[in-house]
Amino acid sequence: MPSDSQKPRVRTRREAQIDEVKFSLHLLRQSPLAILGIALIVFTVGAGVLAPFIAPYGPEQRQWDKSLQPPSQEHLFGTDETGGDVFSRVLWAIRIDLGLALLIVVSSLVIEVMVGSVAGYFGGKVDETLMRVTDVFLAFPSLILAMAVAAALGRNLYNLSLSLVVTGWAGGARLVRGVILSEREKLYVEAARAVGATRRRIMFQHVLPNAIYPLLVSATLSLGGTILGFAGLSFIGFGAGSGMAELGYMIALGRDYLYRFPWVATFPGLTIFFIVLGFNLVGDGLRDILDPRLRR
Amino acid sequence: MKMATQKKSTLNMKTIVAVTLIVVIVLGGTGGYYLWYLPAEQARIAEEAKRAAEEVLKRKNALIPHPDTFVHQVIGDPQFLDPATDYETAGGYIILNVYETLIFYKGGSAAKLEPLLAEEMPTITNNGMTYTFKLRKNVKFHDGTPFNASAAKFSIDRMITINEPDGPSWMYDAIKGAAKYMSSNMTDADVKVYLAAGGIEVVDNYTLRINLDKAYSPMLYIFAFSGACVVSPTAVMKHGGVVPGKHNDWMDKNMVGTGPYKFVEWVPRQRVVIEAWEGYWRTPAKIKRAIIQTVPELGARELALFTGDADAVGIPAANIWDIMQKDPWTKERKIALRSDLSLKPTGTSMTVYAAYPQFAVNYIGMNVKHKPIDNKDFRYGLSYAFDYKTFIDEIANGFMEPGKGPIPKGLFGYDDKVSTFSYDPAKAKEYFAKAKAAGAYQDGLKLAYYYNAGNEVRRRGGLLLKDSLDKLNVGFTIDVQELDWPTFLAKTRRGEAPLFLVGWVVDYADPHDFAQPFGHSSGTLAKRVSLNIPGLDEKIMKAAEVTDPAERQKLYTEITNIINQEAYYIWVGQPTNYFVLRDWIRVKIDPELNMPDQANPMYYGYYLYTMWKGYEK
Repeated sequence: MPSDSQKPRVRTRREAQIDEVKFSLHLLRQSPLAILGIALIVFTVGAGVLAPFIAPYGPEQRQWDKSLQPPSQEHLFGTDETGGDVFSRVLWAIRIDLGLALLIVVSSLVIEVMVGSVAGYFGGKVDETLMRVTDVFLAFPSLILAMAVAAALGRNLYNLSLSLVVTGWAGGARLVRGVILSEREKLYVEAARAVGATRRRIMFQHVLPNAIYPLLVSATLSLGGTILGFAGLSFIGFGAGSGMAELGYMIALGRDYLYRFPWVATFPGLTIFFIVLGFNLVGDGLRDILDPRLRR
Repeated sequence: MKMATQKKSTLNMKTIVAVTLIVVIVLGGTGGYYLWYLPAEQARIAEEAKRAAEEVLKRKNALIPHPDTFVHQVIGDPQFLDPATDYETAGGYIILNVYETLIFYKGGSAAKLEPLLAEEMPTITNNGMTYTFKLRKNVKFHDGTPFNASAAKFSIDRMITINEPDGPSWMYDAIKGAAKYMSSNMTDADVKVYLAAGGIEVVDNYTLRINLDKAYSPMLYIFAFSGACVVSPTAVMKHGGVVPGKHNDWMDKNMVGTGPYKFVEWVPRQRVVIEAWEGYWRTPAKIKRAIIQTVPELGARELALFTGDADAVGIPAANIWDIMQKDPWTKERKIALRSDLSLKPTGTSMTVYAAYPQFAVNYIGMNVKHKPIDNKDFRYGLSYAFDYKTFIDEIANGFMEPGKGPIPKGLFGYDDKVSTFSYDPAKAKEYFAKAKAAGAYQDGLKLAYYYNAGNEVRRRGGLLLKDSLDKLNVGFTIDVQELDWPTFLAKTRRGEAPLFLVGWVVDYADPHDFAQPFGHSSGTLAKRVSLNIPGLDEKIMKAAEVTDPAERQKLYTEITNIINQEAYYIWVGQPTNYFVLRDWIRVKIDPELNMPDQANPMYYGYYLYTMWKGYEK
C-alpha cells in the first residue's frame, strides 16, 4: 500500500485560509501603530460596554448642589454644570456615540454594497442611472446636507443617524462599483461563467468575497469620521436632547466653562480623540495588511 | 544727729529742686512735643501720604486703557433706534442715552419720578384725565433745534401715528383719540380725526397739556417710558416726515435727541457709537465716548473684559463663576480674578454690582388646553414638585429671589404675604395621586417642556423639574426640549406648548403692566396658558382705574391670590439685576437708597450719564 506521504502535498482550502490569517496576524504584529489602535478601541469600547458595571453614577444622575467640582476621588473627571459626574457620563456617552456610529456605518455599508455591486456588475444604463444619483449626493457638502436632513426630520439622535446614513453612502458605493468592475473582468469570474454559474452566484459567491477587504478598510476608516461627524452635528445642536449624555453635546455645554472649569469639555473631547484615533490607526493598519499589492 | 538731719534736709532740698527741674523739663518737652511738634509732624506725614496716594491714583489712572471711552460688549444688536418703534432692550439702551422723556425715574428708584425735560412734575386735574407739563427752557436738540412744547407734542403724536404693532404705542392708548385711531385703518383722515380730538395740546411755548379718555393710574409711569421720548422735529421732517402706520427708515437708523449723548454711527451687528454732547442742558457727561459692540461669543467677551479692551460685558447668570469666585457673595463685592488671567499690569479686578431686584418674572406656564393640565390637582402637583430653592441657589447662582406671583418684588402692588407654593414632594405626590384617581392621566404620561435654545437657566430648570418628577415616581415625566427663539415664541403664542419656562420684563413701573398680561383673559401671557378666571378681568380693570393707593394695593393682593390659587403659572423666581464692570469704572450712588443709580430696574443697559472712569472715589 503506498503511503500518503508519497502523494504530492495539496493544501486544502481551509489550510490556505488559516495560513492567510496567520500571515495577517504576523503582519499586524509588525505594525505597532495598528496595535496601539486596537488597544485604544478595546479600551474605549470596553469602557462603553461595561458602563453599567463600572460607571459610579447614571447618565442623567444630577447632584445639583455639587456642580462644577474639579476632578477628585469621588468624581474622577469632576462634575459638570448640572452636577452630573463627567466620568460616568463619558462612559454612558461612549455607548451612544459608538453604538450609533456602528449602526450608521453598517447601514451605509449595506446600501453601498447594494448600489455599488448592482451598478458595477450590470453596467450599462443601470450603472449610469445609479452613478448619476450618487453624483447628486456627492455634489452636496455632506455635513451641510446632513444638517438639512436632521433639521427637517426634527431633533433627535435617530434622525441624526438617519441623516448621516443618507449622506454617507455615496462615496462607498463608488468604491464598491470600482472594485466590482475590476473584479468582474478577472479570469476566475470568466471561469465561473464558463462552467455555467448563475449571475447571482458569481456575484455573491465569487466577486463580493474578493471585494470585501477594501470595503472593510474603508468602513473602519469611515467609522472614525462618522463619530466625528455625529459628535460635530450634536455639538452644533442637532441630535442629543437636553441632559443627554452624548459626547458632542457635552463638549458644546462645557465650552462656556473652558476658562475656569476646563474638565467639563476636556474629558469628552479627549474621549472622542482617542476613539477616532484608534479607528484611524486600525484602518490604516488593515489597509497595509490586507492590500495584496503590499502583502508580498 | 542734728547735723545729719540738716544735711539730709539740704540734700532733700537739692533733690527737690533737681527733681522739679527735671519734671518741668520733661513735662515741657513732652508738652511741646505733643502740642507743637507732633501735630506739625503728623500733618506733614498725612500730607506726604496724601501726595503718595494721589501719585498712586495718578499712576493707576494712567494705566486705564482708553480713559475717555467706555467700551461695552453686548450679546444683541438693537432692532431700531427710533423710540417710536423700538420695543426691546438692546435698542432701549441707546435710546436711554440719546433721547429724553419729560419725566424720568429718580436716581435708583423705580417708584419715584422726577422732571427731566419738564421743569416740575405735571399737575393732574380733571379727575386724573388732564396732565399739564411745564417744560424746561434753553434745551436744544443735537441738531441745534430748540426744544419746546410743539416738539414734545410732535414726538408723542408721531409715535401714536406710526403705531408700530410690535412697538410701544399700545401703552399710550389712553390718550384722547389714540385708542380709536389705533383700531382704525390709519389713513390720513384717521390722523386728522385723532389730532382733532385734542389729546395733546400746546398751551404756550413751554406748556404742554395731555388729555386722556379716562382716568388711568399707570399713565404717569408710561410717560417715563422711552416711547414718549422727544425727538427733533426738524430732523424728522428733513428725512421723510411722518407717514401714518409706517416706520421712518432714517429715524430707525439715526437719532437726534436732547440727551447727554449724541449719535455717531451704527454699524449693524458690529457697533453703535455715541459721543458726549457738549451743549447738554446739564453738565456734559464725563465719559466722552461710548462704543457698544455686538459680540455674540461669550468667550470673546470675557477675554476682552480681562484684557481691559472692554470696560463692561454682558455675562449670563449661568456663567457668572467665570468672573467671580464660587463662594457665597454679598450685595456688593470686589472680586479678584485668578492671577493667571491678569494680562495687563493694571491687574484684572472688577466690580460686580448685584442683587438688586429686577422688575421681571420668570415662570413655567402650564397651558390648560393640553390634556391632564386642565386638572387643577395636576397643576398643584407640578407646583409642589418644583424645587424652588435649588433652582435659585444652584441654577441661577443666587441671582434670583423667590417668585411670589405675577407682580415682582419692589414694585407697587407686590405683597409678601400672598399664598404661594413651596417644594413639597409629599404634597406633590398626594395631588398627583388625586389627579390620577380622577382619571386625569395614566402611567407613562410624558409632556413636552420647552425652552429657548441657549438659555442655560431655563434648560436646567426643566431638567430639575424632570429629576424631581422622576424621583416622585408618579407615572409622569417631562421631555425637556429646546426650540429656537422665534419658533419658541410662535409655539407658545399659538398655545402649542404644554409647559414652558420664560420671563416677562417690565415696560412701565406699574403693577398693571404685570396683572393685565398675566391675569386678564385677553392678556398676552394669559392666552399662552389659556387662562380665563371668571370675574378676574373686571378686578384687573378696576385696579388700573382706582387712584387710592391703599385700595389699589388691596385689589392687587386679591388678584395675585386668585391667580396663584388657580395655579396656571409656577413662579420659579424673580431675577436680580447685576452688572459686571472693570474696577476703574465708577457709578453714581443714590444717597437715599444707598445703591447705584445704575441698579434702577427701569434702566435698559447703562445710563452712562451716571458713570465715569477713574479710580478716585
